[in-house]
Amino acid sequence: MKTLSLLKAVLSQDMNFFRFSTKNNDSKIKKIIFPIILFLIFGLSIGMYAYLLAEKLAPIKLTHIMLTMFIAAVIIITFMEGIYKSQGILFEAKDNDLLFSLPIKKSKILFMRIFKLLLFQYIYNLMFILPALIIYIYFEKPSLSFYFISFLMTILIPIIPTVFSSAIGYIVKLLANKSNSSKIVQTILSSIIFLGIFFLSMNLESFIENIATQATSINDLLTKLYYPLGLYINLITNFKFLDLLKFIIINIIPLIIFIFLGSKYYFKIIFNTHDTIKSKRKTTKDLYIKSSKIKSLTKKEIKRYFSSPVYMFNTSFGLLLILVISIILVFKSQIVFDMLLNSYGVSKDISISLVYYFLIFFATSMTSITSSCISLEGKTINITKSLPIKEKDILLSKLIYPFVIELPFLIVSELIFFIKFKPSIFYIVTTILIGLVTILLSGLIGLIVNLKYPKMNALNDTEVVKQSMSSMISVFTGMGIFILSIIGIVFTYEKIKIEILVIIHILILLLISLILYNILMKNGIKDYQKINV
Amino acid sequence: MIEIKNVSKTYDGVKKALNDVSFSVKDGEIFAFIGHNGAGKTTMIKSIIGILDFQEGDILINNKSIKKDPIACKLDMAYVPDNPDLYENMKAIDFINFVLDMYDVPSNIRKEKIEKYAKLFELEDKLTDDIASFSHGMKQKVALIAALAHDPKVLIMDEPFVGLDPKAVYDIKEIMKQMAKDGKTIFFSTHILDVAEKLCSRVAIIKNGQIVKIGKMNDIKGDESLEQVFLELGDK
Repeated sequence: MKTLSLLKAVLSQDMNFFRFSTKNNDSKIKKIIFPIILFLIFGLSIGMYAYLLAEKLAPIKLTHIMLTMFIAAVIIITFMEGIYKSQGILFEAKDNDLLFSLPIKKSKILFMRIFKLLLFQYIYNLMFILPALIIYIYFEKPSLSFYFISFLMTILIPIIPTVFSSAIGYIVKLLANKSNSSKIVQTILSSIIFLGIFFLSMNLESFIENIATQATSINDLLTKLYYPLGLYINLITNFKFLDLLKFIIINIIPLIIFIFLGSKYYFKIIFNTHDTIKSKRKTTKDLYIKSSKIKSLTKKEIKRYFSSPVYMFNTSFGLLLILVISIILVFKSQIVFDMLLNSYGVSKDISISLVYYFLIFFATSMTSITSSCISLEGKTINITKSLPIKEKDILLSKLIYPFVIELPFLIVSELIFFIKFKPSIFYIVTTILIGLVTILLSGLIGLIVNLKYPKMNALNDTEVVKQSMSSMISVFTGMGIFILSIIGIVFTYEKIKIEILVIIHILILLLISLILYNILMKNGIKDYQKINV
Repeated sequence: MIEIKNVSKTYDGVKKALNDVSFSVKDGEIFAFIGHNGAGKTTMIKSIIGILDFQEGDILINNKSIKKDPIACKLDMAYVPDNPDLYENMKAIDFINFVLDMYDVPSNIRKEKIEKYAKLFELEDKLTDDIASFSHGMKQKVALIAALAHDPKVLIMDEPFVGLDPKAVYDIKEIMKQMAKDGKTIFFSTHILDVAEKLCSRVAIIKNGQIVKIGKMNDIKGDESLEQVFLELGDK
């Protein structure tokens, strides 16, 4: 009974993801339809990719390689996401005091939190796994056992990466706690690990693609690389009950061990967490300096940003990536250039300046800082609402602070690139412009979406940053704009001069930004007023 | 001066949180708003302060409508919430400065006011500490300093005495009395009937979103205690 009640409480919080604060059926339908369409578009794109792969692999009876590629991607994503999600959900939950005061076993609390981590991972994973499974079924018409094994696989396969990433999250938190600036150390450590895994997984992807051509040995390789995945493929190609048993046990045992060990050490780390640092300011003179309203509001937003490791980490990955790539370009320009060209899938007659232009566009369009900024206010939104300031100024400050955070990364990265590669004035100007315009555009998208889908009663920042409708829609919209831009340029590349295309591209993004700004200042203000916590 | 004129508020078009509420609080008055949990006290306060929109009626702050001119109204007011959910990531001084920036309080005046109230509430040494490290009472004190330091004409407080130590309660009562003497308007909700009885010029009792009793303390309670009146009204 206790476990059920606890599970119910945990799920009731998570189900807010699907709950909207309106009883108006029309707006409810509108709010539900958009994410569903987005989910479908994403699923269809994945499905198309899976179809193209399976089409080539099916005639040689190797369709399962397509499945392994998608499941491998899901394992990597689960592992990477888990590193910082675990820090929020396991260690920074606001219901610690409540749960620890109740007569609940420590292992149960830990299990529920891991379950919470897994629950949202399933939703993300389904977007990749489901289309791949449908395509596999379409080509292979498998027996009933496939459905059962694949259902088990969907449930079990994220467990090991989640357990391992939680363990890494635990170590990061442990090290960060020993430092005075725990939040900054936590963000830096997470970023280093995350970037490391990212570059490793990029190599792994090309590795898997390479072995796909020599596909007969794939099962052996996969089994050596990641045993549960190889086991799954064995099961769907040649079902053996013993293998099924192994598959279940291998996936569940790490979870049991983690919960057993975790319930011994996990609580120590929570009770030893000191989130606050007592520091004295410079002089008393500095204490009472007056600032303008917008400046003061922007400072408030920046302080909020830097107080949340999961928020910082989640939104600075694209920016860190561009900085790292720019630095590596200085030393190993040809290798990175080839890698970038391969990932864009274009021919080599393209200039590195254009590739860099798109790299800046990619990093900034995928960085959605504002998509959480309303939700993260929680109940403190009432403070701002009670003050004599126009809603317009509040929203403006929320548009300004992404510039303060993103510009230093862009300036340093672009300077490195400009000094090393000495691009033409045209590319210097357009590279700077695309950064500025996209920061504005993604800021507007994030803010508008967050005002439509606010999540004001979240238990921790991770729920807002990683598990809210708003952050999902904003990231996918950014991704959509990037993909559409690439498609547009690829289709018109041979008809119109590339320099003109770049100018048109910037102008279109600017025009969209202007339209969105008007929407924000009209409808966004109304949405802001409607928020009631 | 606060004037509430036929204010009605429903949540999601179903639950009527305020039902045709009308009353006024004059300059120089200390006015207490009393009611059971869920009676509509916080909805009323949030409507006055402009946090919550209401469907019918109007609220005037010094003859300005909160619906038509919210900024002008808010410039005259200060609000202290019941549960001080402040910006935990800020230091106390940063939060106070942030609020005062919104009221355009010049540096020299804010220095004088912040120092005065910080000393009164014994927070001088804590101003540069993170709010996250504060107890409920300390947060309440920070919210009070931020509210009082811009010298508001109308002070609105939701359960201001909850979680405060006896000295802070005494200090706030003294501040309220002094503000009333200076012609300011003080409106607050409370569960502590004893405080309301001793401190207020007038009181209103709200039940199910409607004012069931309003008037001077002696007119309302007669020979009974305010507690008895409140309990009797609650039973009806």
